[in-house]
Amino acid sequence: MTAETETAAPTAEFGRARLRKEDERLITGQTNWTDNIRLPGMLHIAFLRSP
Amino acid sequence: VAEVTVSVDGVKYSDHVEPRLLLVHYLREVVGKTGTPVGCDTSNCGACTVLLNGESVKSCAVLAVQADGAEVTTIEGMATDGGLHPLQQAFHEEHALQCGYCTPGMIIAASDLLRENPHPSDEEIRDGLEGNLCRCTGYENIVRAVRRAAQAGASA
Repeated sequence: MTAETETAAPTAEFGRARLRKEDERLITGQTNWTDNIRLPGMLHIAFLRSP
Repeated sequence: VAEVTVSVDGVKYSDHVEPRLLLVHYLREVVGKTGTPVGCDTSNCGACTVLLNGESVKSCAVLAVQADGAEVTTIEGMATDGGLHPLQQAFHEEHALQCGYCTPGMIIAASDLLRENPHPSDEEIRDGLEGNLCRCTGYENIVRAVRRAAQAGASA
């Protein structure tokens, strides 16, 4: 049996690199990381475990 | 309590701070520049890298009082009215980020690298960014992005 492999011509989606839509906020420092969030009365928790 | 006057991304701030306050916490909590993330808190990862008088520093390893009188540039100050900085554009086009947490530090550190060496080899790029960790394993594309930005004249 002969396996035939052909590279299909690029279509609107397949075979093309897509630029990400979420990059702008990530490369300009505008992402709201959870570490940035401050809520009224927000509490913090820390776990101290024995080694 | 000490008084510091710092220019951050072109805006002057004067604040009273505790002498032990780290620059990264000053930027994030006092100035409100949360674009600079805290990665490891131990100066390993480089996510919090900013420019201090034009030189890249890990802002978790600098005290706010050490920045008194200095100019600080964060990732939030890289884009201008003319648009994205060439490094920001190149990171986007070369898919040099996934989660983006290391990206501010990568871009800032790369800008200092290109200032010192406008046309680095791939090896020099890797050497120059060795203090910045990416856990999405995006190094290959990061090197590509820095190379692309260098070709676009990012050091200018």
